[in-house]
Amino acid sequence: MRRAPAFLRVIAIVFVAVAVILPFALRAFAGQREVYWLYVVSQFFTLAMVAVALDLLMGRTGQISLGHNGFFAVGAYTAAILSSRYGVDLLAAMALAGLASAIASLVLGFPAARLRGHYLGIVTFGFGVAIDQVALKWDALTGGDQGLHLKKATLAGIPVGSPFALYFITLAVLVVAVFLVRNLTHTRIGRSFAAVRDSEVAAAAMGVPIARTKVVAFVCSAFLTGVAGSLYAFLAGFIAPEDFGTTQAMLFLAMVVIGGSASIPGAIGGALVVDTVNQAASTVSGLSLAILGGVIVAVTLFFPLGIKGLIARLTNEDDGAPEGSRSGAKPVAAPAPERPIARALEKVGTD
Amino acid sequence: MLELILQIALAGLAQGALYALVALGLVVISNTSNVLNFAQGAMGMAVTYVAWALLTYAGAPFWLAVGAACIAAFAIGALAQIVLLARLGGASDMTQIVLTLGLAMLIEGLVGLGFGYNPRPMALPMSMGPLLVGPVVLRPQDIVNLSFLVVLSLALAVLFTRTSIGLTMRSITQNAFAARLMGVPVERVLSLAWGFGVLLGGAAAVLAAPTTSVTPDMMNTILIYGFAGAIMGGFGSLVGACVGGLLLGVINNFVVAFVSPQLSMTFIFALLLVVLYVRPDGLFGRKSVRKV
Repeated sequence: MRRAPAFLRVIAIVFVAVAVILPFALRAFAGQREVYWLYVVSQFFTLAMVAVALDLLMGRTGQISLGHNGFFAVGAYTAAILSSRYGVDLLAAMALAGLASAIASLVLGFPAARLRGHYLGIVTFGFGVAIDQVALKWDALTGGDQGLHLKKATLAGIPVGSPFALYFITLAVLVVAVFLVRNLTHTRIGRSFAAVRDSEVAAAAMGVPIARTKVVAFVCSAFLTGVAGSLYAFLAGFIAPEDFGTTQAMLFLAMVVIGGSASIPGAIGGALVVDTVNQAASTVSGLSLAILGGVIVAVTLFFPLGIKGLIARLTNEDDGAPEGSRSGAKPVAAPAPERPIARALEKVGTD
Repeated sequence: MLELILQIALAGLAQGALYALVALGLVVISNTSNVLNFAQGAMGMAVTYVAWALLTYAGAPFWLAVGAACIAAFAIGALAQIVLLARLGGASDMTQIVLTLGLAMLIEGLVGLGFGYNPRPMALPMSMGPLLVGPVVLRPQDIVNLSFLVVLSLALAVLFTRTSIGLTMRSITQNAFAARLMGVPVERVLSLAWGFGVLLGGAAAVLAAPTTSVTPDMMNTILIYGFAGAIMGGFGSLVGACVGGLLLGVINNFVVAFVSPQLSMTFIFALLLVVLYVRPDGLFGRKSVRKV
């Protein structure tokens, strides 16, 4: 395993440390609001996992997906059906949810492997809408618009349904997912992802099987998203089709775009920004959509590297900048190079 | 039974006219600027509020409201190209899709903030009864949809084959670099193409409003059908987009009538997957060759 730059290691350690201390701090200070905040932060972890999974597909493999709400829904429904009908163990439900999403992604992945970026966006978008409709219509399985209630989660027979226990389980799964994705990128498969992203023709010439690589990326990303979906379902305790609309797909997209492509801390930071905006603006209809849409437009035009660019700047300062500038105010955003888009494209473009 | 089938097909054709209009707009834009305009629906929705306001508050006649909406749509499209898309240069497909999606979210969010999400009814103020064609009935709405498609697609055909603007657009489709060398003002022509493309989407949105009501998300489904229609037609052929959209309308109406109204999108999605699997370049598309 490679070691991350010192700065990123510090961020990761601080993130995990804060996440571990938080529930105890909430227990001590939050009083009545403890359960609510535990729930909000736990759900943020599931979103962060989706962001990492989607970034694996979009940022690292250059395949757009506007249908990850579909995979999220498949995972959530698999877990909900297994739990409500058969009282399946949390771990098994999670694994099967991931598996179900991965299988769904095969249906999408094989035609998608033949598609260019243009068509792929539309097909995945259609998938996200279709899953919603199926969940609504197939009420014998999904409960239709009545939704499904999950049983309290158990792990190896031990009840772990309390918000406190689920919080730590979700955090642990997020950490494992981050490690998996991080290590995956340094394997043969991970490098073939990057090769496909940077130039399909060149990658094919180097012997990378394009179609298979794309399908594998889809399957990996969908698996993680499905696992995240199952945790979402257990945390919420109840799911219904309207939890998984196309708006959710837009939120997922915003997380990755704001995060900057091919960066795990970026993706998690993007999830944090999107989740915060979405929670804070949820009382006024349209507000969070307008803010996030505006942010996406601004990021694409002016800061194509997103949070990742910000981090890169901070790490560079850490490495070689003079003493005075290091202690200075944090830059608000990555500096815009002369031709930001063209410059960014050299790094993140599909071809 | 035959009458029923004819009736369903005809109503589907009228609905498909809207999909065809959206698809045509998408193809006009993607043919010239090579961008998929995911904001097409949101832009159309925004100008529908113009038409709705004129009809409800100013008591304007239908044709004036539609005309004003079309002009607004043209302006929005041209502006989007000049202000936003032109800055992207030759960015990747993904960046462009993300930008237009962000724009769609922004527009929908702003309209939602301004007008709320309550559906507002909008009727076509027309003094025309249903028309009987043999055994089947044509509603005034259907006639308006179909005649709009005929008029606008004929206008497009004239634009592309008989005018110098159309010629320069086709030259950009063929080879933007060479067109620029031959003195075509590419940026200006692109903004015109965006104007025309969004105009088509805006017309579709205004025509859809009597059935969907005016809401910030009224065009979300129609946009996907428009995309699907354009893909079936090969995404590049204007005739293909037209036929694809109409075909989808008819198929969709049969699914709604005989299978389930809730599953219509699922069927269209499955159909799209099959078409793309069998013919990745659509029913009318030519095989494309990718270069490094």
